[in-house]
Amino acid sequence: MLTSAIIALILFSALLAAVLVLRPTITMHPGGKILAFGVLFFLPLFCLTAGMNNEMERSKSTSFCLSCHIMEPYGKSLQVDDPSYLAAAHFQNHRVPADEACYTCHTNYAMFGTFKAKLGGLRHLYVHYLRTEPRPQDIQLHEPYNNRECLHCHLGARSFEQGAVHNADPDTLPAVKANKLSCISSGCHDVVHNVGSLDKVKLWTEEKP
Amino acid sequence: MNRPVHIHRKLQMSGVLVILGLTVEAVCLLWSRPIAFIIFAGLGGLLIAAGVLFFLYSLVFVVTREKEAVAADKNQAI
Repeated sequence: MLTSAIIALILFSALLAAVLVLRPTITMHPGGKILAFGVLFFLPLFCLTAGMNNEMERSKSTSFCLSCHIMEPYGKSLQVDDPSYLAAAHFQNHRVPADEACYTCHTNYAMFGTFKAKLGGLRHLYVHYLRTEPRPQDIQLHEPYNNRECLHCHLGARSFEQGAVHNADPDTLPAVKANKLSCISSGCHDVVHNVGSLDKVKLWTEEKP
Repeated sequence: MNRPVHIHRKLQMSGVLVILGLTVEAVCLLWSRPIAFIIFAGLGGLLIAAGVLFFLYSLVFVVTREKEAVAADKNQAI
């Protein structure tokens, strides 16, 4: 809906600009001067800002990330019918918004996190178009996964704070909170996407009402 | 007599750049792929920025030159 409105505004602006290109003499009059300012300054910048904002929002969507062929196995890993698969369990139980699943876990919840996530996306495009793409199962994170991204939601949650395993050793929780003990690579929640073994697992199909 | 034609040419060029930029943006908004995001920001943004800057350039410098030319005409008449 918003995209359609922006496209309509862009087409309207282009139409007005075409009038100005075909009849530049209208700028001899005050009304024409105002039109020229609106069409050649205000409207294009407004369209650019609105469009950019729309593109930024759209780039957060799961479908946007999965539109790249190489990401298909990662999309498939969200449908694994096994609660030990971290990404699938979060996606299927809506622990993360299903329509922004990739972005929710792979953004950085620090200042400029969104900006850094977009820069990471640009790097993906660079590798996709100008370098040799790795196999999906060989894709690595740019940097070790920071517990901060998990704690953004789980910190303070009863299941996290009072979980039996988390409290079995009094040093565990402080180490997790200080990012000294990784949630996903310390042998605890280490089955995340595991795209290399997807052909051996059962997939869950969402029943649409 | 040439001066209005001069600024009109610049306005037309600015308008063409803006139209091209807006067209690129409209196409990219219809095409939901990561590469569309790059083309939107890179090519569309660049064309629009070029059109807007060219418009501002023509406003500032053509008008200044016109005023200078008018002042020179007056000096010659004196």
